[in-house]
Amino acid sequence: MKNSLKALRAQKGWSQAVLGEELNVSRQTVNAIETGRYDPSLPLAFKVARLFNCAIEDIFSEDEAH
Amino acid sequence: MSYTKSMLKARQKFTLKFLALYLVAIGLLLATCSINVKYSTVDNQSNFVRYFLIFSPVIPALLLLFLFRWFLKSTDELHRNIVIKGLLWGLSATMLIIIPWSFLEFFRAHMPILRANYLLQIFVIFYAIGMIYGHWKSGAYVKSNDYDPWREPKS
Repeated sequence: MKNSLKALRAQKGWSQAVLGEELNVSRQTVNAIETGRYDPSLPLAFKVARLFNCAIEDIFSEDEAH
Repeated sequence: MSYTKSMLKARQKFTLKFLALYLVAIGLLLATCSINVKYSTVDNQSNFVRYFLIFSPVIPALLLLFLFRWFLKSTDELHRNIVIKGLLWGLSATMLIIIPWSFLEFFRAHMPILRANYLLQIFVIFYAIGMIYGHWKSGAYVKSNDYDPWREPKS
């Protein structure tokens, strides 16, 4: 899965640690999601969408290579 | 204290609390097992006392299970995922070794006898491998080079 989390986070000027605190997850989780090494659970994806005030599909999209 | 530092402090507190409770539970388990071994075979004891002694390690074992559940619930989803995958990998790899080995033992293929008290050690080794692989694969300990507006300057 691809995602635009890094760009959204940069817009807010947040570090991974701060975003992790906002989402109640660790910085490592944010890093793993941003680098595409880990796909978040649906509740976490909803949290992310709510935090950035957009729809899940605006942030996460299917990776066409797979 | 910065935002990130207070988060780290909270995580360290949780880890210390978990480890303390874990050690207490392990200590209780070992103590009840030792009492069990020493006294449950003594002849002049009532059946009630004997059964109580035999089943007494169940209480700290349950405490350990609850602690593990609490740990999984309190930790974040990436780490929970790594722990569960590590456990599953440890169990699968241990079974992959012991099942063919026990068949070979059963059919007298002149295999050295795999003692039951080695099982935990085999499992722990594979579990550790699973955890290391999980952390490496998820990049969990890769240092972030992000812009961090709250990063404190090095003194």
